[in-house]
Amino acid sequence: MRRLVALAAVALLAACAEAPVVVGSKEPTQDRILGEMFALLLEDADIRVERRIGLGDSGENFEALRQEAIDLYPEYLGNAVNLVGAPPTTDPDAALASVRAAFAELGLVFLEPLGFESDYAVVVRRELVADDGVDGVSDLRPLAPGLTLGVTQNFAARPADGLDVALDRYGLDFDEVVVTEGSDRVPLYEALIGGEIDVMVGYSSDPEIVDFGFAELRFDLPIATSYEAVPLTSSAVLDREPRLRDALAPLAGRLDTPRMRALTRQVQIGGRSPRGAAAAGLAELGLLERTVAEPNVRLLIAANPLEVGSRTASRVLRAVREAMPGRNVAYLGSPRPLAEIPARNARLALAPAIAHFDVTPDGVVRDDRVEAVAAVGSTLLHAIARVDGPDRLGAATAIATGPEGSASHKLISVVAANRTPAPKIVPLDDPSEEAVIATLRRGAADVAVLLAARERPEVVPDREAAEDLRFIDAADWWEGAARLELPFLRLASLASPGPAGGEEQVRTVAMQTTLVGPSPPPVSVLGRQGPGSISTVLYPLTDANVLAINEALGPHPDVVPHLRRAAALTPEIRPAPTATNPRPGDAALLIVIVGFLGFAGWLLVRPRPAGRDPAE
Amino acid sequence: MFQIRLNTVFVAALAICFPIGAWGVLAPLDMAAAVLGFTTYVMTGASWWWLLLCTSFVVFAAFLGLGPYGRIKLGGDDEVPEFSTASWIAMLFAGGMGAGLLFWGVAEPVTHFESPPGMLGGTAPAAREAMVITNLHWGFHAWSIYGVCALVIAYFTFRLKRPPLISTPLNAVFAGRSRRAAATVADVLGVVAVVFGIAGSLAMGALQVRSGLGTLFDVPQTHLASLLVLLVLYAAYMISTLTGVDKGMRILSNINMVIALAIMLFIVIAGPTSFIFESFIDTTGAYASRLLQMSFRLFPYEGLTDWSASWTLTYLIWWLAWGPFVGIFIARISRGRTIREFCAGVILLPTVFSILWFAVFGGAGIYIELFGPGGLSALVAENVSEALFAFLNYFPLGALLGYLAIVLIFIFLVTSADSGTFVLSMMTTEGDLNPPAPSKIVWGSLVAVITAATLLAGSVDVARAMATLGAIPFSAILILQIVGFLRALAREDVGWRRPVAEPAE
Repeated sequence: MRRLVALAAVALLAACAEAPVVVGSKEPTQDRILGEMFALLLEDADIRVERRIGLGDSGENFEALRQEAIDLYPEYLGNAVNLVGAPPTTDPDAALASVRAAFAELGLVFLEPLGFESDYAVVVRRELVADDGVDGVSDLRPLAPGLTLGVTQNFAARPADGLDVALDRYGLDFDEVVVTEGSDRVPLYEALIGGEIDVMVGYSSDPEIVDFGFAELRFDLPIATSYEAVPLTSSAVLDREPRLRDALAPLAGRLDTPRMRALTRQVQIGGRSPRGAAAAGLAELGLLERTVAEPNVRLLIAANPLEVGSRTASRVLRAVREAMPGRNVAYLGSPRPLAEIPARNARLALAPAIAHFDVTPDGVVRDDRVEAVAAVGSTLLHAIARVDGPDRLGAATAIATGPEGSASHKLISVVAANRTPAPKIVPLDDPSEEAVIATLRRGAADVAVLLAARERPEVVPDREAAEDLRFIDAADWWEGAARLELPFLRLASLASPGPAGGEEQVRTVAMQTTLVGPSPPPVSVLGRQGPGSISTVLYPLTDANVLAINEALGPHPDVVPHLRRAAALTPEIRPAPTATNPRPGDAALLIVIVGFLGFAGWLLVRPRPAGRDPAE
Repeated sequence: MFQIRLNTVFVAALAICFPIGAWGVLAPLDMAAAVLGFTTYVMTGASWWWLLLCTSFVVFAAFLGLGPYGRIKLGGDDEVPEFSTASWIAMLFAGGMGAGLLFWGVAEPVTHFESPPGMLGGTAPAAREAMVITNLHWGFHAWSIYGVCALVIAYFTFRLKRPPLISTPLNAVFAGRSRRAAATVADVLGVVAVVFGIAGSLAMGALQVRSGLGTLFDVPQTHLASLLVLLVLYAAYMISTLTGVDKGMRILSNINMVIALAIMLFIVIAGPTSFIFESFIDTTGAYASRLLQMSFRLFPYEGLTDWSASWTLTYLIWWLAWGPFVGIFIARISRGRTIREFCAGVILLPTVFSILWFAVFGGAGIYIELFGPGGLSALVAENVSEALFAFLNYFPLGALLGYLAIVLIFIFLVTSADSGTFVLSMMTTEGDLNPPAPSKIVWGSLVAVITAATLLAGSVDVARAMATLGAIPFSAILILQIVGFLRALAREDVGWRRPVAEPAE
């Protein structure tokens, strides 16, 4: 044992003698992935590496490189132009040549470009393109006085190719310009979804553009230089570690924008670590054979697999990541998300309010093993029937739902139990839309229900593929006794594809979608620590984490009172103001303790007790 | 006389153990709720008392160690210590602290750092506060409780040549009929407290090992798996206890100490060395200068009584719950030391070691949160054991460290169960210092049966309730023991004042 430790210590000391190559990168996910790629390739070439990935913005990385705190980081040419004040040019080759010359004076070296550009992108909602025929940025000019632009502080501050330069170049005069702090584009995409802004400036490699179906406008009047991604290092480092250039050479020109978007999405939505995504990307390119161990501190959020990737789910993922830094947060697909928490398969779950309840013969019972951490959106009941089928859910005789125990199955069971005659319930093992539609067409059920967020577009039957299907009215169906048992349901409207290609509004019910965590164990304030004590009981999120998640989610409604709420969300009840003892039992305890102490004191000072004393 | 005493204690202990054990198995949730509810009520209702009581143990221990009685030898005046100082210290930790030291070494400082009571978490002052609070819980208070429990027993056993029983010191207090009644109550309570203390801790330990094996080797999390873990544990601690303290227990404790020191040394080297030692020195000073204030610190104005209960008082209750058997065990291994030596070895040295231990593990953990990648504190709130392994994984050879940690946890369980079985046998054989094998087999097996029943009940809260069951009644016995000890001490001639006159018989 001792020998082993000594050996390890010696190995450690020996390794310290040789200075490692310090790989840095900027904060955004894409930069982290690139940094990890560099590090992995260097390690593969037996070069010792130290990671300073996620080091802030361009300025910080550049300074760190100049002060030799880092040796290498991925940079974009356009940024470099801003950093050294080189004249802007739009020709990538000329840009690279001029930047290389400018940087050589500082002893800094650009290696070969990686093959993709992370250009600025002007992003708008798709309807602006479809309705107003906007194509290039300059087409915005007539519309600009009625539009709001959103940019990051980082973009606004750039001298050579930032906000002012772009506005001047295109002669744009927006109604209002919203500037968000830092370089994080996520709040801008949220604002664009929410309609608070109409136009924003992001990066062409942002996966949100594709994920949320936004349109990217063409730069018809180029403003600055190209934004090719290039590894930046210094000549001193290349002298010290000549193998570096060769180790990174295979990556030159191999990365393109779709690949970078896919890798970024793996991290942002799929919950992979940047290192894992980088290794996967390199493996696809045939540049790396080994796999990388991903950190074992995953935090899983169980959710209906159909919801993963939806806007709500992405927003939740981001909020949890922001609230619990250092954790590798990811989704776990499950038809019964809440059940995964007590089963310890997931730490959190994303589920509609109905999932908090169990349907028992005695009625609806709330599952108090879990508690709502935040309300994150709404879930709508989508009742689908054939065009020739029933026109309201109440008229259904056989209803197809998700698997037993799933939210839709629970909801239908409660209402069905309160109706005479009760409709037949057909639980489907496969809850996907295809299975639902197949069931309807087969005639195994005359209505199928799905629970889904309003904004999940794929739930709406595709007009061409499913002309025979439509949404039906589900509003009056839960009237009566069921309404008392499910007080958290509320009315909602839903757009259904109408007969002549138009849309009609059908009424349905909605409920809150909640982010759920384990609830505290029922007994005692006795802590879980001690000499031999390890409690394997599930513990709730700390109050600080709950509050941080709510903060990160931005403005959202409170959790409905019918659900068990996390302690941090429940207002503290102050005891009634009184001067008298709020806990009379404590007085009895005091009397017992003082009485016992008095007794012990008397035993101490009383004269030697009579009788034979074995202690003497 | 011997036979009658043995039977009374044995029968009465069984008569109490079985209904409580059966209650825990048949209605685990009710049992846990009732016992933990009672403990909670007494803890929050009289938090001032528990803190005061435990702080008085520190003061009392300091008086004994530094005062005129320090020169008294626990044994004949010319006796020499039975165990080497290194083995002695190793056995102290193996018997008294257990695996908690490993788990909470990282988890506790990080938790307090994230949310210290009454101040903003995640800041530099919070880090300092976290280290001081942690050492308050594992430092002088913990070891003084053990130390006083042990010292009383050791004094009567080795100095006055009385049997090492819970009831022995009470004989100096009571007389006649009341003495017999008090002695029986004390011994029965002691046995019950130790049985449940060991069984509860073993059950928690077995669940812990099972979940560790689940993470590493995909062992299914079933009752069968936990019973198999228990079976292996049972075999290990029976072998260890049957070979006697000077073989099994001493060897295992030394192995444990070496592994623990090796892991610690590795973290010191691979972790932020100077940060760790800066925090060690800083904590030593902060702990020393704030000991007085912290020893009396409650939160009446902040309304944080629940925080006190769930941290400080929980620890104090644990130390009290383990007091009867750790006390007797420490007494057993401390023959031939003077009271001053005893206090230095059982209280001062372990406290200094604790400060170092928490500076290494907690310091490295806080470093990860403050300057490193972070993520530990949320994990600690979720799962302490996973947090330990995640922490080890931040360092090179993390997997190896993880396996070592599991070995260490397993040995800690074995040594705790070993010392418990040993002490139970001593208590029921009229204080035989090397109890016969049949007695060890009976008690070792009985503990295993109760542990198995607890495991089948499937509730960790039952285990916790059982483990802390004896703490509150035992604290009353402990006060009476101290009264007896003080009365006996008054007859010692230490040149301080005239000893109490020998009574004319």
